[in-house]
Amino acid sequence: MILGVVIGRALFADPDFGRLLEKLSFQYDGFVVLTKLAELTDTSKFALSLGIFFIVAEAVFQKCKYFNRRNYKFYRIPIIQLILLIITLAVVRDSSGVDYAVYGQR
Amino acid sequence: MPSMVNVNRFINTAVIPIVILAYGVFLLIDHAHNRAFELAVTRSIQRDYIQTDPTSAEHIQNVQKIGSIKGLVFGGSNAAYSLSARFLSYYTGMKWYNASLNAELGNIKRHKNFIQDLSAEIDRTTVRYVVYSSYIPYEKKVAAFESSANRGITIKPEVSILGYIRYYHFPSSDQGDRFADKNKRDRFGDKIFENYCRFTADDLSHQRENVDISAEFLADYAIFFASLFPNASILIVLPSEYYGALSFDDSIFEQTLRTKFYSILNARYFKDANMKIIFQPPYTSIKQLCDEQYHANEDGRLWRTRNLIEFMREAVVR
Repeated sequence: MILGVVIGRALFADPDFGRLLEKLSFQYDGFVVLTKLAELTDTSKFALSLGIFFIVAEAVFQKCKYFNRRNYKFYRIPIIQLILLIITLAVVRDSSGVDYAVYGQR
Repeated sequence: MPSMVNVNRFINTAVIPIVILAYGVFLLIDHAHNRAFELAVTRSIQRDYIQTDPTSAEHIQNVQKIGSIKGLVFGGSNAAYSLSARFLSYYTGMKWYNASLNAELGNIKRHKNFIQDLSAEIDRTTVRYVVYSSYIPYEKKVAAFESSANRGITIKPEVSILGYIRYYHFPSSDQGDRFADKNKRDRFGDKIFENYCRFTADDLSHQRENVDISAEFLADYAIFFASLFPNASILIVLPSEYYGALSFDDSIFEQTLRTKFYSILNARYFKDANMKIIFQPPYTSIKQLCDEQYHANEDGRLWRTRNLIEFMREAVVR
């Protein structure tokens, strides 16, 4: 069961088999990763920043009443949902998020 | 708090649906805008390719100066980066010119208009070789390349809302200047590399278009070239790519595409002898690449051009 979950998560991490193998090879690039990040598109950088912000906000504002014992439920508050919806609709375009699994990006 | 509950209910029942509705209206506007643009391009009989890529005008001026040309290279950026008319001239002892353009000008009609206008500047009957190197069968985009308006309405716009806002507020972006350095060509039409190559191989892909669509697309180009250059051997070239440590068996794709390509030509009464399809092998080292998996640097260009010459010797018997 546990092994199944682990293998399942690995398999569903990417819909492209070649890219999945590349990810699973866990290449360490050191500081080259900074160059790679700088070469990302503006949309990718923005999405990455937003994701990091979500996680960091949970830690930084853990004593705040909106975050306290709510485990990401802060983002279910209607006004926050509205803001996220507007941000998403403002930046989404045809070539964005074409072939990346949603499951793997949770 | 009753007021907070009311605000939340208002957002859920009114504001969010209005935002989604407004987005739907935006999608319709975006689709209509793209369709109008595509129709304008399709109907255009003007030389709009010069606005699309000023290098096209440069090519036409260059061939006027050169005069008698025996070999021409057409295609997209794969040919611009990775094939050299200078090397081809050196190895074959004939004058070649590289008239490739980034993304093949993004539209078949526009690209063919350019080729027709360029061919009008030289003696077409003396051209002995035409190389057409296209990456399009290696992307699942042939139909999209033909007309992006055919894709219909989807839930994602061609350009994002922020993209539109940025375009209307800053129409003179520095995109052109940023790419100007990469578009410098020499008198053979070859790209001049100026230390901008930096390939990280972090986004490798292996795609193949539907084989029927690819065969139809390539045969159509072959017939177009044969009608323009009656005495030339037409070489349709599928370019080299870099796949890193991954390897793919493309033999079935290549065999099927080759068979269908020739059967389309035969069905249209074109002789096989003057038209060949060539599949170039993958790049063997990351050191041969410039900035994309199908863009060679100077070393890769030399390697791919030499490889093409070997194929030409085998394929063309004159």
